[in-house]
Formats: sequence, C-alpha cells, structure tokens
Amino acid sequence: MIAFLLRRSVELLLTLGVLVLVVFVVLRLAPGGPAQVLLGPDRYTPALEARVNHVLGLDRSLPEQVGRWVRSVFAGELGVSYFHRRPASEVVLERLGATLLLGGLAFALSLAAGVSVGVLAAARQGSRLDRLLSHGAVAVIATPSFWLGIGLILLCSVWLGILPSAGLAPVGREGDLGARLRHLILPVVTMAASHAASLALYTRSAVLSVLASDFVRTARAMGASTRRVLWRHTLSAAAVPIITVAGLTLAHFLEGSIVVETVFGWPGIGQLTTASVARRDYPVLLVISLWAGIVVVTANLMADLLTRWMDPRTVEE
Amino acid sequence: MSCYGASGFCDIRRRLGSRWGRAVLGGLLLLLTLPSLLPLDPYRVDLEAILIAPDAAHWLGTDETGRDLLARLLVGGRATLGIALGATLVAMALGTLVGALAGYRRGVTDALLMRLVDFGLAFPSLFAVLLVASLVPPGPVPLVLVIGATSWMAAARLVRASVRQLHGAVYTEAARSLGASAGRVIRRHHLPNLAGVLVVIGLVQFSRSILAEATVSFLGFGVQPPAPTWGNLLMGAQTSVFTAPWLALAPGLAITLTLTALASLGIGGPPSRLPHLVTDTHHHAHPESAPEDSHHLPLRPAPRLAAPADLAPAAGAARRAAG
Repeated sequence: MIAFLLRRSVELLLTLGVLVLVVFVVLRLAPGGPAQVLLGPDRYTPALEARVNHVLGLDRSLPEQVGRWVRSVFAGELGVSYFHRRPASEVVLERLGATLLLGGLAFALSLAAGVSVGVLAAARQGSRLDRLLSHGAVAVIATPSFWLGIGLILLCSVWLGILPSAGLAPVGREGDLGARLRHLILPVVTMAASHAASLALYTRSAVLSVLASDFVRTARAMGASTRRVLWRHTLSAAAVPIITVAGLTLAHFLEGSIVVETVFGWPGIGQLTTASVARRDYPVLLVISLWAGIVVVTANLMADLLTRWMDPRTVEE
Repeated sequence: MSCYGASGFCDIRRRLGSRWGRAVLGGLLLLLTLPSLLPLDPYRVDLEAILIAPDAAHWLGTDETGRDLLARLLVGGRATLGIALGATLVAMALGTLVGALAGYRRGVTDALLMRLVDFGLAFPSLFAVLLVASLVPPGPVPLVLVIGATSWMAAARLVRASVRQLHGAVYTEAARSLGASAGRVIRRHHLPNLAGVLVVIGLVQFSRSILAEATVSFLGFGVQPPAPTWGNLLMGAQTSVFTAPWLALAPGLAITLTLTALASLGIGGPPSRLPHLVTDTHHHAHPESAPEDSHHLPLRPAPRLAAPADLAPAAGAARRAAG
C-alpha cells in the first residue's frame, strides 16, 4: 500500500512538474507579451516595452527564465501578478474559496442526483420512467452549460423572477445567509447538470450489467428484497466504475468553473483565468495551472485509492 | 455490399445507413453547404429594425444592430460545424498515428506514448485551448488546430487497444512472417479493420469539437465578431438576455439539437428507441470514461458499457439483439 502510494505520488509530482513547465514555456513563446497589455496602446513604445521586459525578467533566455522560476518556487515564491502588483498566490487564494464552494456543491449534487437517477432508471428498466430519464440525460448532455445557464437565468430570473441571476450576494447584504444560498442555486445546478446526466447514464448501465450477474440472482432467490438487492448488492458492485468516472469528472469541474463563472459573474478562479489570459498575467496563470494540476492529480489519486478500497481485486498488479 | 469481418464497421454502417442516420447526416451536410447557396447576408446592419422579436420578415428576430438572426445562425452554423469537422480530422489523424504506433511497437515507445496520452488527459483541455487561443491571433484555422491538438487522446487509446487486439490475429502474424514492414501491416491490415471504431470515435469527437468551439467562442477567445459562430452568437446574446431572449434561444437550441442528433447516431436510432444497454458514446465531459486498456490496474473491471467498450464488436452484436 505504502509502496503504491509512494510510486503514484512520484508519478503525479512528475506529471505536475511537466504540466507547469509546459505552461511556462508556452506562455513565454507568445507573441505580444504582457508589456503591450500593461502599457496600453497609448503609452506603448518599443523602448518602454524593452524596459518592462527587462524589469519582469522576460528579456532573458528561456532556460534561464525557467531556472529562475523553478528556484523561486522551491523558495516558496510563486511570483508577483503583473496586473494586481501583489503575490500571484495571494490573488489566486482570494478567489479559491468561491470556486471551491461552487465546485464542491455542484460535485456533491451531481453525484447524488446522477447516482439516484441512474439506479432508478435501471431498476425500472424499459419503463416509461426509464425512457424519460435516459432521454432527459442525453438531452442535458447535449446542452452546453453556458446555454443552460442562460436558459435558467431566463426562466428563473427574468420570467419567474424568483432567483438572482449573478454574483455572490446582493451588495450590502453579504452576511445574509439566505441571500447567499439563493445566489448559489442557479450556478450550482448549471455546473452539476451535465455531469449528473452523464453519471446517471453511466450508473444506469453499470447497475444493469451487475443486475444480470449470478450473485444478484442468488440474492433474489434467497429472498432479499428488491431494495436490498439494488442498494446493497448491486450498487456496491457497480460502485467501482462509477467512482472512477466520478473522479475523472471532478477534474472537469475546473473547466466547468471557467464557463459557469463567466455566465453568472461568479468571482472565482474561472473568471480570474479568462481575465488573466486576456491580460497576459503569466504569474497568475502559472499559479492557476499549478492549482488545476494539483486538483486533477489528487482527484485521480483519490479515485484510485477508493477503487482499491472498494474492490480488493485491483490491488494485485 | 455485404458486411462481413469487422462487425464494428458493419454496425456503424448499418446505423449510418438507416433512415434516421441518413436524415442526420443529410441535415448536417445541408447546414454546411446551404449558407453558401442562399442569398444570406449576416452582416447587413438595419438600424430601423433593432432587436425585433421573431416575425414574418425576420423569422428568428434581429440583434442589437438589426442584423437578421436566421442568416447569422445559418452562416454561424457553417463556421461552427466546419471548425468542428476540421478539428475532428486533426484529432483523428493524430490519435490514429499515436495509437497505432503505441499499439504496434509496444515496449518503450508504447510506455512513452501512453504517458503522453495520460498527460494530455490530465491537462484540463479548455485551459489549454484558452492558453493557446490567447497566443495566436484568433480565427478558424488556429481553432481547428488547437481543438484538434487537445482532443486526440481518446482516439489514441482506442486505436491502441484495437491494434493490440488485432496484433495477435493470425493474418497479422502471416503478413509479418512474409516480411511485411510495420507500416504496411498497420496500413493494409490494421487500419481497414479499425474503420468502424474510427467512424464512431469520429462522431463522438465531432460533437465534442462542436462544444469546444462554442465554448471557446462564447468566452471570447474563438472566432471574433462580427463573423458569427454558434458560440459567439450566444456570447453576444448574453448582454441582451433580459430584453431579447430570442437571441439566446435559437443558437442554443441549434447546438443542443445537433448534439442530440449526433448522440442518437451513437445510440443507434431515433431517440424514441433506446436500446437497453446504452451509455455515453456521446459523452463530452470525460474523454476516457472507460480506461479499458488501463495499464495501471489491469484487474480493474472495465465498465463494460462505457464509450470505448461499447464500440467493441461484441457490444455491437448485443445492441443488435437488444434493439
């Protein structure tokens, strides 16, 4: 177990290192660096650009820049945001809470909704309910999240007028828990929808394939109730592939946050990403990619560990 | 033509050749060609007709500068589908190349290439697309390349798994013992057998690319207005969603309908007939939903019905029996 953890950790650290390095190099190869954005079209002169680049260290050779950056990372320095003029890690950390709140709730919702809908559809396989749920899921997957978001805003904010359309909380009432919760509903649902739908389809097929197996028939023959067969025997056997998929999905909530935060004006990492890309704020982008890498890598590791715990057969390699 | 041998190919040919399959493909073809044949002008500004709700003159209404939404939707559709088609071709070519090489060579080449695939999968692809899209001047060609270059991994995995499987076949051994080179065996013997798998993966890839283009353009890093695509039409619509909701409804519906139609091809029929073993061949969120060929955990029970497994010849037969 410990050997497995160690080996995976080394692998994951390597992946993380390569990822950040790639981002670093790609950003440096960009035509039109941050100097142009920082100076703006009015003040821009080639001489000033050269000075800005010199101050930011962008005029050095690529290997030198990489070396300096790696050394500073090991010293605990992640660079200073060009735009905010503050440590990039601070800028990202400020936004992290909002994104984690949104992503965490959306992940929990998609897991709960996806698995229950999937089990329900499988239990009633072939029925009208099954068809409704399955087709519904296919349709939801085919709906881009930003359009779903706009549609929900139209429905709930514009026509029904029951939910707020954007932001964290109404201005001046940030402490109002009810208001904050109401602001969460639409973004969370938007973010969770497609993941819930794909998880539902996935759960449905995993459960169906387990339902066809011998031990389920045996359990039934021994008089176990349908509910017991479904939740106790079938779902625990079907859990392994579901967990694998859910783990991979977690990583994709990162991408979801970019879109959903843009639609709902949610001040998190996603918005920071698009803004920083536009501003060429390299240090912030590097911290974000580091953070994204950590999330992806941890999610995969967790899924692996859970799988091993749920299904001992996967331990022998 | 009779169908024998690779049953995956038969299956997909049967599905694409069905009345429904032909309708979907025909519709897509129309969307791609029609805008060039019709006298549409998506750029004609009409300040007398700003933000008009759908009526007889403007079937889908007009936008904030009085441009006709129907014209913009059709021309935008051609752009979106064209970019998605190009990106799919790029991804399929890359994926087939990498997958065939890894599956055929095995050993160190295989290990290295699969690391590359893992890396590509671990990288949040939207992030990659945004990064690169911000580096090059935005436009259709960079989008095709960027989306293609960030979405070849699923195809590579599938092709690798199939090539490994085919590699054990007697005729492959025969060809090799007769002195056929690796390139020849892959080209003449493996690829024709892979055709079915490739078509299916191509369809999935196509829907994903449509979504990718729409997303990137929606975020403002794709094709720049005034040139329309389904994605940037939605971006423009967001600002006036309270006053002119029709601007958001039409492009969104266009995307959803197209993707649903494509998904129904993967399922194998019109949406009214759902076979009892269905899952996410149309999945956009996680490209590698079933690590069937997972080389970390060989004993991990492969979820039988996930996208790649669903494409396996055996599953095709199961589906036939079911549908």
